[in-house]
Amino acid sequence: MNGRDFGPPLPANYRTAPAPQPANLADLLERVLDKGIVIAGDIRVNLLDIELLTIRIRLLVASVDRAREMGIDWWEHDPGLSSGRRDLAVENRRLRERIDELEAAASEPERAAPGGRPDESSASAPPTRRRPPRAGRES
Amino acid sequence: MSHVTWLYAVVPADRRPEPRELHDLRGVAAEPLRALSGPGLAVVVGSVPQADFDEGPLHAHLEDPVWLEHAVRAHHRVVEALAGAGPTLPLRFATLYHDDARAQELLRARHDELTEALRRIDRRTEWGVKAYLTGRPSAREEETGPEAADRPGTAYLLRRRAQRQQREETVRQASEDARSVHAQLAGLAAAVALHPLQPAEASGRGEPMVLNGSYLVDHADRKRLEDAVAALADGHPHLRLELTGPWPPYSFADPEEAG
Repeated sequence: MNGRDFGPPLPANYRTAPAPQPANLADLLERVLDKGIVIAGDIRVNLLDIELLTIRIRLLVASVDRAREMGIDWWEHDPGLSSGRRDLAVENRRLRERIDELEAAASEPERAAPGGRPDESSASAPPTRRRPPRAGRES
Repeated sequence: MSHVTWLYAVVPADRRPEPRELHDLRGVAAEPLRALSGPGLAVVVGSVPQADFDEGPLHAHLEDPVWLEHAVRAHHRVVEALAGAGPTLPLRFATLYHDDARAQELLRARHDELTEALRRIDRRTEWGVKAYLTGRPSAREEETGPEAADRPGTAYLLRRRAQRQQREETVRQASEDARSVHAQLAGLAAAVALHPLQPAEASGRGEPMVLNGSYLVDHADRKRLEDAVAALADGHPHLRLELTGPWPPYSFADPEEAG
């Protein structure tokens, strides 16, 4: 399922024949996490919350994917190294907090601008956010 | 240990997978899978431990990149196997109900919408086409004239400006080409979706991405799509085109997004 330059068709029987290469994780994340039909289940998780995390993963895994293609995946089974990955979650939280701070700081000068008229230009468009995955779609 | 129900995909009732077809598959918690039936539809599910998949613990897991990657791949493997066998509507990752009865209730409550979505993707496959800007022309960067010996600073600034303009022009041209590639592929597709461009670190290529599209294409048109991609690659030598798939129709499952 990896990118290819018009190679032979993939085997039709996915069940018994594992894909020759794992799908590129960035391609996979943007589909599995961002697409698929949205149903409001009983257990709610806001996947938007993990958006930043997936960005981090996208940066991280590209090199992982490349290494894995060469058959290098020993760190996945090394508890010492896996625990290093947990730092990523902590860093992710810090990043998110930092963004919140920056966003808060960025909106303040607008309000405090001397002589600033509340015209169209200052009434800037709301930040574009994607449709919340689970809002308003009760089953 | 109590369990909750993780949903993978909805399929038409007459394509409901037999237990032996699900036998070798495992879900996000390495659990065995089964199909639940509703009127005209079936949904493939697995029972996952509540201790790991209730709101709190699940959220904690999602913060763990290793766990998340593992679960995303597991979810995808199930959906991909089902999509290889017939029309399959992938559910968004982490769709969970407290029990099977609630999941079956979904099939009744959203019957019309799910049936319509299945009809839309029937006999069609999602293909990804990405375009990268390759072989940036660098020769012209030197064509800014000989440096004026008496004004090296000015010459340097002029050269830098010319380089910047050259880069901007290259990117502008590539974006235009990407739009044209997308338009031509869209002509072969029943529906299209554009994903955000991936940063170079994520794509694993050193070249900037200029197109990240998904195309819902009739099974019968697969060859036409492949030929079109090859022809477009020939016609745009400074773009590298990458075709991925077949994908389960993730990008076309949700009516709101498939538009």
